Amino acid sequence: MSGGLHTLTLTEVAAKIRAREASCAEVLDAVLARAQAVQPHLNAFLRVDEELARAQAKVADAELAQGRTRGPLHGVPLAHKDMYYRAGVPSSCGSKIRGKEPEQTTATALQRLDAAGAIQFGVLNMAEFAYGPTGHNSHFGHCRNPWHTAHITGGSSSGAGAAVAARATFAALGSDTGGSVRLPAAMCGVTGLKVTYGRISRAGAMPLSFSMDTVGPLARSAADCALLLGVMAGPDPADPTASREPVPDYVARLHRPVKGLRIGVPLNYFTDDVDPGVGAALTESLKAIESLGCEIVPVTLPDMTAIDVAGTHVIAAEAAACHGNWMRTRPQDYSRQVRARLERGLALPATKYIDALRYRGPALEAFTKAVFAKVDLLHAPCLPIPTPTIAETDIGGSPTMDRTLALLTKFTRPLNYLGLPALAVPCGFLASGMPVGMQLVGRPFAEDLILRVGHAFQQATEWQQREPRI
Amino acid sequence: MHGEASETYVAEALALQSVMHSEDAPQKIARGLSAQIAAAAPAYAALAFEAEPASFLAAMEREQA
Repeated sequence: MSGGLHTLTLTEVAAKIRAREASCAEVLDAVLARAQAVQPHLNAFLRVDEELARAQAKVADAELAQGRTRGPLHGVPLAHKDMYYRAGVPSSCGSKIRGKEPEQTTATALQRLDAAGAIQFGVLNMAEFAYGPTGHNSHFGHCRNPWHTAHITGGSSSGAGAAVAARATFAALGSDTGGSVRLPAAMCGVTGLKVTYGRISRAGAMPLSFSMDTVGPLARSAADCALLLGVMAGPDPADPTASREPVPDYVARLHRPVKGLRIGVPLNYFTDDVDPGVGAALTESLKAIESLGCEIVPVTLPDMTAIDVAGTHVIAAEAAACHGNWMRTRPQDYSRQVRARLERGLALPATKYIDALRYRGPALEAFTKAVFAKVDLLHAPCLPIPTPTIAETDIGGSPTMDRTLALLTKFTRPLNYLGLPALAVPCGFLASGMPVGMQLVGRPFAEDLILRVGHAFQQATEWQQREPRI
Repeated sequence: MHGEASETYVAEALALQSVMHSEDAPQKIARGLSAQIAAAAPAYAALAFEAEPASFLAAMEREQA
């Protein structure tokens, strides 16, 4: 498998196309062949638009022949989580309810990728309505982990994690409301960026929890995430929550030095329930970061359990409000798990939701005071446990299922509630062969810093280069 | 500080919103909801009278890189 065009990183393949060392059609052929080969094993794709993509690749090649390029992603084929609307095309959102009618608008994130020259060749599996951390989907079939197909991919951007890891797309858009970019990135051994709330427009992206939803890429390296973020970030009249904060040149800033940066290591919360194998990989990753000249500084965090529960309240109430109409008219069309989660949100008292929103400002201040007054960024595991199997996390799958599910989002959801950016980076493998992921957490709008440290780590290690044998 | 959410409360809360609950929802939700509300209760109780959601956006601006 190694050595084909599909095994290049996004940055590498974009450069190869620009240099006319490979045509857009050749690159697309390689990716389509790979997608076709892995699909029976992974169920990562919900649809492949081969004919349309080939036509676009032909146009892109003709433009190159005339000396024209659209942007930094000219001719690069990508597939995305099936919740980014494209006018004229249905989006299933991983559900039985959506996907029958064509969408009326195109998501701003897709418009910006299109303008940069990317070619969308398909849509990817996901948890139903992005409301699940495992990758189970009873409507379209569960997505499977390329490192071991009996294991979950993580969710909700399940197909994105699996397809990027399997080299069946160079990158993919996911979304992260409680961990849905970082969990599949960590469980599938790829790099995933959860941006600051408002950094990328959410217009045309399926809502789950409007005050916690973020759009973010999964790719094979921090450098690839930097390239994609630079293309997509910035204000948008179609999304009033999209920030006007200036967009730096994330790729250029990757090369700034990391020596002297202070990296925080939590003394509490992110140390709870951590599996020894996961803990060992995290410790090794810290040594690698220290060897880059960074200073490791222990930090004590504020009450993260309250922050996590408040995040749960916000997601539950906002998701239940979004789904209220269908819960009244089509409850039978939801899977059992998602219906149960939405019912919980409908029963949450309004005052608790408002309290959760009122607590958010003080919680962010307490967190930044405890962490960013002392360090430049925080280093933590993405999840405390090894990637469980599909069976273990299915309904009735194991006596510890409820606890396992709760542990999956314990380390990711609090950061959504706080609106902070976090980069999931592969940082080792367990004896079982399953990958382990760390997350680098920054101040609001410090994506450039977490990408810089992630990039430096990936220059010093090789975890992100490992490919699953599938 | 906080009481237990009853199955009746959950069933009626859903009924009030014209949602037909699934089979074992009231029992499961009542148990989980009580625990969740209790877990956040000290943090919420410590909020200032004037605390409002917009304080989050202000904090984001203050704390940004």
